[in-house]
Amino acid sequence: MQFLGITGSLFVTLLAALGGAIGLMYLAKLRRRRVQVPYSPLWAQVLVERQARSLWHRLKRLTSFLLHLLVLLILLVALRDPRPLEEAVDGRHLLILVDTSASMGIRDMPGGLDRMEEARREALQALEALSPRDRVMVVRMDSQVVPLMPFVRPAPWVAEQIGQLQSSASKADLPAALSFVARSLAYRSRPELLVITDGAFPPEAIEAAAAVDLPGNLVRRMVQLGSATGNVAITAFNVRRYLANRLNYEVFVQLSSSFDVPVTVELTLLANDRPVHRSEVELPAWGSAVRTYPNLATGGNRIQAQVRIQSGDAVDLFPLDDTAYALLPHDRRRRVLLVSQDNLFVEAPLLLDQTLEVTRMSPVHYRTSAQAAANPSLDYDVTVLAGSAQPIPDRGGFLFLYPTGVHSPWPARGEITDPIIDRFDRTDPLMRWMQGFRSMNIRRAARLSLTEADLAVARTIEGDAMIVRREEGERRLVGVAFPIEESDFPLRIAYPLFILNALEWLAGGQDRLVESVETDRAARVFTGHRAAGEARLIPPDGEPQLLPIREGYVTIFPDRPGFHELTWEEPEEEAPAAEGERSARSRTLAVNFFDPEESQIAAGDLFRLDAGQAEEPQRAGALPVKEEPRFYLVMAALVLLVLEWITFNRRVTV
Amino acid sequence: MAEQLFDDQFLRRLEYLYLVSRKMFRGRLRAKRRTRIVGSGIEFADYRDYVPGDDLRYLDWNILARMERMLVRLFEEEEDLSIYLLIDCSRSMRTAGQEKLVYAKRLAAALAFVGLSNLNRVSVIPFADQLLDRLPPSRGPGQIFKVLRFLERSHDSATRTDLAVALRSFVAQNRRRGVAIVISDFYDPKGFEEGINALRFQKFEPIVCQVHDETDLEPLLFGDVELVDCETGARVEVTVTRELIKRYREVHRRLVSQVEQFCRAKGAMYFAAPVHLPFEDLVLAVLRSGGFLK
Repeated sequence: MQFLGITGSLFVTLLAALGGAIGLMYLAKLRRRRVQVPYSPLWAQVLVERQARSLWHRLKRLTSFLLHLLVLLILLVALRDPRPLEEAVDGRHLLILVDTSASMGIRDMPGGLDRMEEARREALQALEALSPRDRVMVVRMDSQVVPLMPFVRPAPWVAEQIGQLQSSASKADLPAALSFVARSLAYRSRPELLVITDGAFPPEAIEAAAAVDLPGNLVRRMVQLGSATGNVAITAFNVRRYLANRLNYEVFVQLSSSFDVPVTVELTLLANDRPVHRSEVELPAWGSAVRTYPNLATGGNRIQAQVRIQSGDAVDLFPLDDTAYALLPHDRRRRVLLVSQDNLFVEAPLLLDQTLEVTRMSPVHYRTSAQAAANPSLDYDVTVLAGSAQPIPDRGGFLFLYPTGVHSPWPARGEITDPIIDRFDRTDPLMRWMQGFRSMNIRRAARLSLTEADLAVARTIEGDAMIVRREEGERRLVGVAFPIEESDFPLRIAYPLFILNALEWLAGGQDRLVESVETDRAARVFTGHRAAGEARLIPPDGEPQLLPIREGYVTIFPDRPGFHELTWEEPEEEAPAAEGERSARSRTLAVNFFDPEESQIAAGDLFRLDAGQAEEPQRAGALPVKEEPRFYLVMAALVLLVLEWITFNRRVTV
Repeated sequence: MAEQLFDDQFLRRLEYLYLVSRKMFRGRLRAKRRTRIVGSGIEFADYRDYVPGDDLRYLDWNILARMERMLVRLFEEEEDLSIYLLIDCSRSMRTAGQEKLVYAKRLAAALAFVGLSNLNRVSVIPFADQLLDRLPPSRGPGQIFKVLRFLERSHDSATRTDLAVALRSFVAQNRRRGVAIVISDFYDPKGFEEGINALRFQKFEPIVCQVHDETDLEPLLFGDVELVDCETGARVEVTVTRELIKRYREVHRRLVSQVEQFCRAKGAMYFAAPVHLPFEDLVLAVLRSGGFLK
């Protein structure tokens, strides 16, 4: 027998003090209560017939005293916390590793509980089984491995921390977690590991976890939870506006199923929470389907896709991946200043985009205005300068068509005749949807002098830049080295595409597609200014989170899907940015949970943490609980007290 | 205690008793009893020899003329019944919320009302180890409020019970014979017999009402207690058990039985008066017994 509670000397001291106190109380108790009666001779007659102070009565009083002493002794022994000798309780270090990945939120446990609730219960049970000399650490495992505390003595606040564990919208990184376990328990005495998980890991993760070098003396236990198998998930979702008709948009959805049978699902598209399209999709067993929905034109820029199973024999227990979110770029109008001497070749493509607001100005008027007052370009998103170059401010977008003169950003080093373009960067934003410039006839072109900031998008066979772009500070420039009216470029389909691409890039808008952010992945959001500060990220249903702004960027790490709002204050010392995306003080972010592996929610097969030394994995509820002799001792003391009360102390007083 | 003693409800119950008593005595001589003494009545009763000093108006001249013998005519004198209500006010009557004393006073008030209503002379005398006070004999229904006011007085100065001393004092002070109703719990360590005998020997007609309450029969005691007599201060250490309570009940029943048997043996009327019994029922029982009001 070993004692883990109070020390022997304290035990003796308490026994002496409390035993003495009980003795005093016993003596005090010997004094009888006084009760007034109307006629005592009646009682005297009764007592004559019966000797009240019998031997049994005196013995009963002594028994009461002895019972009290015995109760005290039992309680003090309970305080000493006796344990069997064979129970190894001295200084264990238990690390409880709790899987908080998305699949732990599935409600497939008995009693309508989700896996996370069951995991919390198992962790609390393990905590209760610890002795005061043990140390415990609780670690959360999802895409990040987060220890909730260092190794500490078991205490109520540890239980509170366990009670606050929630499943996240990310997948668990088992190898990283086990690496952390190996490092944390490397030099600890009596290390023990308890893994509570649903085991929904891909085979390669289990393989990598098995390769982690865990301490040799580590006692391992694992509790695996969950049983559900089938799930339907949206694994990809995007929406974008049409190039030519920016009022309409097209939706792309990818669905996958992990049911063993084909299922029918209903897919609903919503714009600003209003349904705009509904369709049924057949999904094969363990298969996927891709759908596009063209020419949707309903207002609203917050687009959602929701999937719901129609088949009666299938139940989707994992709602996290049943909704996806996307944002449409705002359909705002762009102001374009065309500085040209009635060049219809330039004007024509500008008519294609209904969102452009074109203002025409002659080069002479532009120059005069620029010299007399502020540069007219400051009031426009993009300025198109056809022919002679003009003085431009240090902010805005500028398209130079055959720039010549002293104000040209690319001074001409001469002229080329009949240049042939044979190299261009197909991935450049200016070249989107364009097939090339093959066999394009150009009569003449200027040989432009490039700087290090310039990027030649299209070149001749000799290496002379025909189309060039530059980004410097808040100014963007695109230059075309040849006069378009002296080429057959305007006759080609590529010409309006190029003009629209150039305007799009110059206006700073790559926003035909607003990409969504995925949970458990870091994303950087540009605030439009370089000053340090603080931004506030408001999740769909959670507490606002303060995030630092560094070098103009906010790094976010969203942990749940939905529309997040990111807001920040503009620094006072900086001039307000031009109206547009970059100057906004808030930005909406669409966050999605796209993880095909985590969406396969089937609880994993039982696996060993280490093939060599692991204990057998256990299903939920199988965790051994240590016996608590203290409990039985306290119960025995209570029984003795009740016995004493019934035999001696029970009375109904007047 | 005044409000609790004789409230409106109590007075209504007295009215009821009055009506019932009128019905019971209808057709009889109204509240009158005759004595065989020379008096001012008109009903002839007997003759006796003339002695000097007798009123010559009662001399029977016819007999003197015919038989030359001097005889005086005796008439039955109409005499009022005297009712004495003797109330035990010792401390034993005041335990457990004074229930016994309150009951005794209400019972006395009811009997006094019936007596006054029937034109008898009613006197109330509280006692303990001696006579504590005295309401002089009153007559007529209008005196009931005088009786009630007297009963409302607290007579709580007394402690012990001494029936013998108190009742001997009573008979010494009241030469006019009548009905003596003793309302008491008869918790007298010296015994009750001598007191009742003192009444009997002086030609009073005793009616005994023994009052007791619930705690007299079923004391709410358990465990180790020291019992203190409220009158004598005598102490008894006792461990109260169910068995002991059972024995106590037996002893108490024996005491009650002794009082009852003694009264019956001596020709006195006895009534047990548990406080839970409505006092009007007890009054009617007394009336029906015939000993009261004659």
